[in-house]
Amino acid sequence: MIGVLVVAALTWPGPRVAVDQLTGTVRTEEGRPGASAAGLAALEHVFRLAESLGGRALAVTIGPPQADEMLREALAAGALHVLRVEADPADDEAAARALLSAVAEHHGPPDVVVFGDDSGAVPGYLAALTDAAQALGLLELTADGGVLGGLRRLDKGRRERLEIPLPAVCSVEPVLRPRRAGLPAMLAARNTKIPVVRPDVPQHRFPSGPVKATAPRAYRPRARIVPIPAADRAIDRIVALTNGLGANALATGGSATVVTPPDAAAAADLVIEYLTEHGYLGDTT
Amino acid sequence: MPEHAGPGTTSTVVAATPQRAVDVVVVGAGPAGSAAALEVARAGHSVVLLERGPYPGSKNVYGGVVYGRVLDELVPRWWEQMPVQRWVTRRSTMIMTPTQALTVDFRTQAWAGPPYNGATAHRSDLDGWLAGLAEKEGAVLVPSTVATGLLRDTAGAIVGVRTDRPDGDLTAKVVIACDGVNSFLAKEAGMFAGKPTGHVTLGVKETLRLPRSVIDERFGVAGQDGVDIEILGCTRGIPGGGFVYTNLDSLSVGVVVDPHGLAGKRLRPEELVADLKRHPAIEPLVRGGELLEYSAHLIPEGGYDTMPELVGDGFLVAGDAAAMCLAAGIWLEGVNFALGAGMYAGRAAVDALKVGDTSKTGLASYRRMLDESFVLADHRKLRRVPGLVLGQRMQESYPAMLCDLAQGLFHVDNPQPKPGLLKLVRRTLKRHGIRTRDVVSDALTGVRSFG
Amino acid sequence: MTYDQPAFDDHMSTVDFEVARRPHITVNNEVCRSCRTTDCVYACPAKLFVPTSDGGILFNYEQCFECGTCYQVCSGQGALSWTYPDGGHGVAFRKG
Repeated sequence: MIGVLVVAALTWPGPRVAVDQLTGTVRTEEGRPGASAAGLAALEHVFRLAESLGGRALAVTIGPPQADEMLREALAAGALHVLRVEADPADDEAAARALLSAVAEHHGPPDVVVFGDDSGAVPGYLAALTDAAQALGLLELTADGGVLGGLRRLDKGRRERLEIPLPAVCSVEPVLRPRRAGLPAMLAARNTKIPVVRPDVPQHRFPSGPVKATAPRAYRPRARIVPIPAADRAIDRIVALTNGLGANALATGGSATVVTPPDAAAAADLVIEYLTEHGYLGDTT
Repeated sequence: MPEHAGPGTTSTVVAATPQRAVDVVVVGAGPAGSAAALEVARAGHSVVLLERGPYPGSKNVYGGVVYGRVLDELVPRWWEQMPVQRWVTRRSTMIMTPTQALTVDFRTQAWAGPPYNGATAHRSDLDGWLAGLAEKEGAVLVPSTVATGLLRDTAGAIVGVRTDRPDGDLTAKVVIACDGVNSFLAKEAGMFAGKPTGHVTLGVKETLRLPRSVIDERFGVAGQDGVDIEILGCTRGIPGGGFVYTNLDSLSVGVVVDPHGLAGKRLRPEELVADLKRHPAIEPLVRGGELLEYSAHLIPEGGYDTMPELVGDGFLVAGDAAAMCLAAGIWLEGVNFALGAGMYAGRAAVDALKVGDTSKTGLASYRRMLDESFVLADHRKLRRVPGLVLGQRMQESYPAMLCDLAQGLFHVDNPQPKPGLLKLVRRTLKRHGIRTRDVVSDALTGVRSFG
Repeated sequence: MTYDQPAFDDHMSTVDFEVARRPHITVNNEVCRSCRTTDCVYACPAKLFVPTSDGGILFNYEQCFECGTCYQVCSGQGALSWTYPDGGHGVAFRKG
């Protein structure tokens, strides 16, 4: 195996979600078969990277046998290899593991993997698994002198340029259309058998499930030592210590309410009423 | 300059050697194209099946029922594999005015079991299945590829097609054009020379989602049994008709109209569909359906007299491209004719390849097979029907007259005594300004056509 | 509970399109301005032809069914240049 391995990871469209206009019930229906626009842009980027890096272009997808059609077109358009991974990953991490294990088994570890930017967290997991550089949501991805360069959108119309070392995992926006496969290549690809891998991937290495709470404890912030303020009256010292807020208002005769309840029960009622009125207690009825 | 398929396509003259890239190129992976490719591949010849859409059926729309019996010759026990929505066991013909409807409703359980009669299907499923059959026999399906023009040798014979892919010229001994109702290839080949053009109707359709149990209940069917209703008088006097048919979990409702008639009435096609869906006879059937897909397609409705030449040097035409559609008001058949014509075109190509003569003479068996089969027999027999059904009387006068006649028969107007039937007929004809002479003439045309 | 007849835009939103960059149909407004019938405005099932105040036609190719109705009904010489979109593009029906 020689040359850099550049991989286009295409997403096979899962079922799409349809929301009933009237009842709001959500149902799924079959998605449109074929690669997404972002996936096709990833494929074209991979072809260009493979050309400038002198590497091999591989198109891979996790999908059912219907996905062969998409891979055949990738093959006709210029992919050196294609690979269909038959797996039903439970989540994006499992998908990344399945992809990695299938590619590594057949073609060795990938040097650059390019996704469409509609691939969820799969690129992130793959980068973590392979300890690769990660550059997601790129507008441009080029290779110059063995170094990848990327261009990414920032807020307010600005752009940032990235220098991406190898190995790298990237994802691209749907900005490029793939080259059109020639008719002879299409005819040749029709009779090609698409290699299929069923990777044996342990489902989870990390524990998963809902977040669990341990035994609750009262919130006790760490005490801070402050010098005693120089003031004669106790209330002034407290105001100086609390430095503002309600106490300040109290001292300056602001909006604080001074009440003189006849007994403790009435005082409690007033306090609760005040807190409720200001929304601290929520709905206590 | 890149080339595209359209009315302006032109042929390219190439220096053709007897050596060709493939034996047969079929343009269009619809029912006609897939049947042709299946027959050619089965005989052991190389065949490429071009499809301009991303998958077979992606550009196709139909209006109700696939009659599959012609498949007996292509696929044994086809009904076990065909991707069917429902088998039609109930067929209604409805004549309506804005407030009335007269229905002839027929049902038979004989159509609920093999070999069945008609079926409803989604075209992406059906056409995909047919193309898959051809592929299994060795045909090479190339999707997302438009045939943009014909290749001819210096003598004018057709020797292949040009496609919109890079290096897209494909030479072949026979080109079978199954490229649909607009058939730019058949036009380019000169097959329509001297033929009346523009005989097309526009079909628009809404597919509405409804729970299966609701459909079963509303249409009085169970299991995979289905209903097809063809409607006359629902197009506000514009020549055409309407239809409602059941899929498994959805209904399809639509109209077929003469597109030239819309502007005169300041009407748009989707308004006619909305009209139909609001009609008191249809509303209870479609009520509460959620729109899944809106679609439209042209239908060649001119019948036998508007068919092009079918055979040229190295060239055959089949399916909608050859106007092999019966789309006149209450009839909407086309898939069956396309399958038959495609099959015979494939066989004719095989015959011609066998003797090494793919000229017009060598391919002449196509026309002969069509003449002897239902494809042209039906069209010849029903050649006057499109004119009859799309005429003003059948579109406006007769539906209103028949509905009034039925209303007169069943209306109880005590203390007035019931009118005699003949008197009622005469009175109704007179009220609608229909001359007895026209009724007799139309009846004769009908009897001659169907007798 | 019932669904109202959806607006026309909602009709079109149920259809899948893979829009090509090249407009496969173009309209020559010089010809359209002299058109008295404007058949296309009524007949196009996707409602792509919109009359403008200056007597021309505003046309969008993106959501075209590629049915051919416009070129069948158009009476203006050279008003329409009509082609199929390039392979794989344009409308893709699922329930046709």
